[in-house]
Amino acid sequence: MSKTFDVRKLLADNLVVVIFLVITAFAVPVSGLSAQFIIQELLTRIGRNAFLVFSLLLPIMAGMGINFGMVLGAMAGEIGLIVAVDWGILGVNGLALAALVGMPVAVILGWLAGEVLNRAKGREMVTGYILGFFMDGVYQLIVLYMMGSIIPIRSPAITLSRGYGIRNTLGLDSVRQSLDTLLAVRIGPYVLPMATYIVIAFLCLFILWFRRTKLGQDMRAIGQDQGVSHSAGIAVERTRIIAIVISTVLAMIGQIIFLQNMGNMATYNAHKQTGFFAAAALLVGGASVSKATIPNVFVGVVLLHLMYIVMPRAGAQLFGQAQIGEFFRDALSYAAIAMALVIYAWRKRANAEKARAGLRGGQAAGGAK
Amino acid sequence: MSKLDPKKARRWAIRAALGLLYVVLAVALFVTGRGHTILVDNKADPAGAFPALKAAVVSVDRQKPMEFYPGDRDKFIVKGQRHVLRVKPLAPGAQEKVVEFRVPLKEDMTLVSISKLMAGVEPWYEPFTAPTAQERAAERAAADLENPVETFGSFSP
Repeated sequence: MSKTFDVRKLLADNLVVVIFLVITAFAVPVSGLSAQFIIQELLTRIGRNAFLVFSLLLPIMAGMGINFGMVLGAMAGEIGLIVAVDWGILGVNGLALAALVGMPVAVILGWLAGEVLNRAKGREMVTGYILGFFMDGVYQLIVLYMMGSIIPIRSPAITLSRGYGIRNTLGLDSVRQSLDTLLAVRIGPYVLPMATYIVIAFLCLFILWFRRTKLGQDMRAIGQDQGVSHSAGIAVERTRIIAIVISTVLAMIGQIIFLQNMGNMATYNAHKQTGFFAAAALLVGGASVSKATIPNVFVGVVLLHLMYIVMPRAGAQLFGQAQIGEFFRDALSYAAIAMALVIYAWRKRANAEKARAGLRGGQAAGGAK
Repeated sequence: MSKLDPKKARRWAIRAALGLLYVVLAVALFVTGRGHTILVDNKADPAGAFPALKAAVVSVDRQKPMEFYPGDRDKFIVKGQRHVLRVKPLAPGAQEKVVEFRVPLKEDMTLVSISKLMAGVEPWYEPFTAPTAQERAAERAAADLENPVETFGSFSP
């Protein structure tokens, strides 16, 4: 039996990707940016963002949708970085120590998030999003009031002038781009942060390996059908918690990699948009809230950041204001998430109707709406 | 007394070992990654006990060497506790001096006086604490009290 190639189906399956491709294909020549500049920026941004986007894969595999609660992990990473900077640990040692300090925080937060999400089955995404807002308040309480008063902070350079609380912007000079420059390879005009790429490659291998383990298989089974998985003896709730814990820990490491590349940290805001940008990248890469793969991550990071690079300049060229391009790219990122959610709901409904039609014996659905 | 299940005991032993490894790794990263600021100073003794070097090239560990002239002070940021200081006076026939020194783990800043080092005065390196903004303000206020400055409006008939 041969499969027929259906262009409409292909377009429908990759609608978000196609829209982004069209927009960027239009914006690249308008921006007037050189190919060399764009490629170098993309190479840097893949290293900066890919790890964070990868942290979303496991919860999707476990049928929990996009883990907007990954901002909890980002907060844990920031706490780790504050500690590493305060203790004056330089370079990669500082990053590794930040990860070690952030790890227990991320595990506890991930476990708490998992427990909450188990009580909100079917509404994991919105619950995770709100959980992020709630934990942001707790984070502010800890960082703004407890650090320097209850939690000892040695360095007056990072505390507010009143003597407690961390400054709004934290300079990460001690760890700035330490991973990126650890093994920077120059190929022609391009500089590749190979150490960061190696870390990302290890994460890819980990995910590939993890999918084949018993736990990975359980997650996939739960993602397919929780009821059947439960009947098959899989500890559904425990497995879901593990998925969220791993995702939170990966988000913690991802945020550390992201911030070391940026070189400074907006102490009270850096984590707020993390979940949104990672989710937008993954969805732009062709993933859905129920299925995401490693290629989706790379395609998404490249496409979304290609748009981020060229849009402000394209806006400046077309309207004389870069700000318009900035607004446009933000609007498109939100639109990508909204569109992916709508397409997911539409497809789910279409599949259900198709299944019902199959039960009726091939009759097209046309009954009550 | 009931014996501990060997499976459980093994599991707990592995967990304990992992916990210990975690702590050991954190301590190792802390000790080897701790940063220190080495302030290199080329100033003469106010009492005239030793002079400043006329010109010297100084490097700490394998960092980029810096030139120092009388009155200069600059910094090197180093990692770890053991360091090698190289001082090469820029004078015909002058010998390079290479010394190893150790900075305590808790110390943030160390002041190294190359003029003291070359003159053989001990100690040529000591802890340094940068004054805070409040301390500087207090110093300025005290100095103003000692030497009051008459400004426009302070004059009273």
